[in-house]
Amino acid sequence: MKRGPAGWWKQASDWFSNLGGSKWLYGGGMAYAAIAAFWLLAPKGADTQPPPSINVGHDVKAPAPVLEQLYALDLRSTTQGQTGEQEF
Amino acid sequence: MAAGGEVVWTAAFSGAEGGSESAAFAVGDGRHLVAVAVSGVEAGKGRLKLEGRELPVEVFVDPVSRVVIFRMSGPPGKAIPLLAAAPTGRGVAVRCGNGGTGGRIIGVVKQIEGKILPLCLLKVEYDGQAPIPGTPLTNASGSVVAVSHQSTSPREGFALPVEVVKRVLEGVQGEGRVTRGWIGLKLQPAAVVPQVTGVQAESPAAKAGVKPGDVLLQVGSRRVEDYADAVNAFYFLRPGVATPFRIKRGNQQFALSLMPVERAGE
Repeated sequence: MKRGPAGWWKQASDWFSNLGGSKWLYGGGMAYAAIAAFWLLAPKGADTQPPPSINVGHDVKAPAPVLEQLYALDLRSTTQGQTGEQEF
Repeated sequence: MAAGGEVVWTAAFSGAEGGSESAAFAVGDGRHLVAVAVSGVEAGKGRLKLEGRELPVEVFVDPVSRVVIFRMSGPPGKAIPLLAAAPTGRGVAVRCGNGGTGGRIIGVVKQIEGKILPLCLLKVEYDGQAPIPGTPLTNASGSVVAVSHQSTSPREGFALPVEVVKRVLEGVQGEGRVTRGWIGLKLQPAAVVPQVTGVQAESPAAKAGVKPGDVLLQVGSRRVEDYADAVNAFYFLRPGVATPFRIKRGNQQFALSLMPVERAGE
């Protein structure tokens, strides 16, 4: 009589051969149990948290207005002055 | 002659947009008359009229304030005294000329529509129609506190503080022309405080020891709180007249004396 895995395999094959038509029922049940066990025991990915929400500022700051320097009291709206550093 | 017996001086200025008329009034020795040439007219070609009759005159123009001084050689007119400086308090009452429409000062204007003025103006609200440019605005004693400039609405307008007229007159009577002082300081209009951003080498400011980064606190007798205040104070600098400055450097304050020179090209 064989020992070890080869003997165990021979015994299992004989047992299944003696079952007749019901061996398919056993096989189906074992396949279902294997799939169910895999489903339950398989390692799951680490739970991930959504990133913390960041409040977006809706008050978009307008750029500082460009100030012009007039060198004469020309108060017409079309008059343009000098911008940038001024010397006095 | 006007209904009240007052002599009526006027100044006419031609321009591409049709020209304009200004009131005029005598100051000092009675031979110097003050008028205002608003934007768009040829100030140097102004004509002085007495009761509609044109008089021979010398014309002096301050290109910055647009104040025009007429010097005539004929019999002097009746001069109106000038106050030392215009009151800037809100609500100060003024009167147009001698017994004209009343009004009140409602504020000081440093900039208009993002354009910083070369000198501060007064905003005046009138009880009636705003006067034409050049009209003297007087206090209860009859002294000139301001001169009307451009109107902004039927009952409001700008006015030149009387010290502007005095500054121009000093140049005309002293040097025979309108002069401007230069000290060689550089500033940025957008700065929150009037901080010096540059000093021209060999300039009066450099010689007095002003350094970039210094903050101006006072120029002459004028307190300076922002860039526009500094520009206004610089307008009154006179070449050859020592001017006290107060500056802040770090945590320390200094008093300096600057001697402006005449601005090149003017």
